[in-house]
Amino acid sequence: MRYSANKTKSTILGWSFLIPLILYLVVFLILPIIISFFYSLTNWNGIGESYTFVGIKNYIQVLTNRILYPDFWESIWTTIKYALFSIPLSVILTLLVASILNSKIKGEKFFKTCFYIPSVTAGVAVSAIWIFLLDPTYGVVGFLNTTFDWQLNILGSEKTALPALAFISVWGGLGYNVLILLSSMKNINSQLYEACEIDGGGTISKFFHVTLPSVLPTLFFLITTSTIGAFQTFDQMYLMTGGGKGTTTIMFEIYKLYMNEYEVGTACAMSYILFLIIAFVLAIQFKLLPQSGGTSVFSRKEKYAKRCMRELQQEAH
Amino acid sequence: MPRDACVNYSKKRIKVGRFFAYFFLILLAFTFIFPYVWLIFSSLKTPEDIFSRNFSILPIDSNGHIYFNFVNYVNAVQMLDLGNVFLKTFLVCTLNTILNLFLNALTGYAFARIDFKGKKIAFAIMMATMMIPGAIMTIPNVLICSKLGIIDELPVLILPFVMSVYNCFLMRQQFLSLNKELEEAAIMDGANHFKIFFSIGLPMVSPMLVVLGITTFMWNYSNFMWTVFAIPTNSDAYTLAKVLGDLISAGSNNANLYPQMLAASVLTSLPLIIIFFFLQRFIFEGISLGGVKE
Repeated sequence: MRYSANKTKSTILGWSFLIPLILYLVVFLILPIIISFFYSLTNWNGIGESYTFVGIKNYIQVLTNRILYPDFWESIWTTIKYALFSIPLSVILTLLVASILNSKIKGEKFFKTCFYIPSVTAGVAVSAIWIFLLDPTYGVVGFLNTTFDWQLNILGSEKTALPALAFISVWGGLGYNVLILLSSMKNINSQLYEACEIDGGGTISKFFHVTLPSVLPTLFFLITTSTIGAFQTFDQMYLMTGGGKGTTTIMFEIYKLYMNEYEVGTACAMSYILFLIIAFVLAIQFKLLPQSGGTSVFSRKEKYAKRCMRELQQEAH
Repeated sequence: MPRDACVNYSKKRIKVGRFFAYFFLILLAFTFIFPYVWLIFSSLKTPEDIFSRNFSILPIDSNGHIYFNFVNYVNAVQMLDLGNVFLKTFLVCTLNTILNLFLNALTGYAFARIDFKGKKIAFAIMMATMMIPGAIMTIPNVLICSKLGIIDELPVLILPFVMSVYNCFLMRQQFLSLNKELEEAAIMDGANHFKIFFSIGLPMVSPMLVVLGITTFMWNYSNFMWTVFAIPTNSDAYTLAKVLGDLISAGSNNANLYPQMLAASVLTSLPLIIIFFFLQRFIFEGISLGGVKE
């Protein structure tokens, strides 16, 4: 009897601790999702009181009407290109820098601090720095243009604007990624390296047989979070190119529809489409990318490393 | 003898490898430092020298002397009313951080320390919401905020950010990793959970509170996209990021604003970089806990 009374009491207590969370999730997650889904089925312009229920017309129009929404498919393609520029570059640089920093290098702290500074600079200021550096008349690029008589206009050309934005985002995020990967590298059992060494493995074989398989889960985490980030990118386009020169991403397209065209219903519909796209891409990544040493092409190598370790221990006895 | 030769050879190879590693790191570090050096020195030039085609990294006058001129800073502060904006931004970020820490710790404590019916389901639901990418919620949240009548007002910068599911999760993990003997002793003595949360729980997780506090503050300080949608017109509610962002998006069409833009960028970056240098240890520690999000 007493036990059950206690249980009711602690249930009330527990849920009362959760009141803020519940309120928060209802007001800023569940209600917004319901409301925006409702509006995605209407032609509301965001200002007046009147709107008509149009069903899934918004979704169909966005996906098929190339006259009303000429930029939609373009923006998806742009976003994919942006992700394809930035994520591989970011992953390779992060792996390279983190493994160098992990090799007992002098000045590790100095380099870590250097690479991390952009991560503690407000994104807006990062954009400002690069707008100035890349200015074709006054910045560093301006200097190169005058000195070598070049005609570089990196942010003003269709060919270079999007890769440049991708590069700047890699620059801004490198320090954070390196620190995460480095902390995972520092947790690797040093016996694995010793085992590899005894088998005659050099730096490169240590990297492929020990380091890489051990940090795969962290690497996978970094790839998925960068993917989510890349598909939602907006600030840089708004600040540095205004969406011009082939840099209108999906989020920027949503912004234009909402703020400039007053098509709230369509903007909501597009948000849902973006959600589905991200979910789809992540599902593919979960399916295709190795997430841990055990379930992938690397498993053979990890087994090899483990065998080496066993032999090492036997030798020690 | 051949064995020695082999060792020598591999030592040499390691040395060459080291050389290239340092070379690469120093080159990369240069690309990280140079933009800041260029920004700071340029911001100290007179506007004429910024627009001059005689390039120099340092501010140098016609006699070849190095000078430091703060006219861009004065202009930027006056033009953008930076003193006022900075104060407001600082208040908003501080308030957000305090509320965020308190509410997340409270939730994390309940998930880690109180046994109650439905806890598992509540936790699973909370974790599921983490899957929804933030930017996608922008338009839905703008709509709910306009229903609440706070669009274009200061509360729109606070209310949507008073909690963060990710931080809740981290607080829970932190509580789980700590010993609960002290709390159990307090329960024996008849203290209730609210009392224990304040007197034992919060002090116990204070290292995590510092880590999450720094990152929450920094995140709020840098948050730009939300201000574009949520404070479109009311300049009384503009934050530093919004003010600088407006200047930049105007500046990229109008190079005349570069002097003010450079000075304002330095001023905007400084607070976070200062915090970073003072609290570096906590930030780096926080990253290894997974406590920092972009």
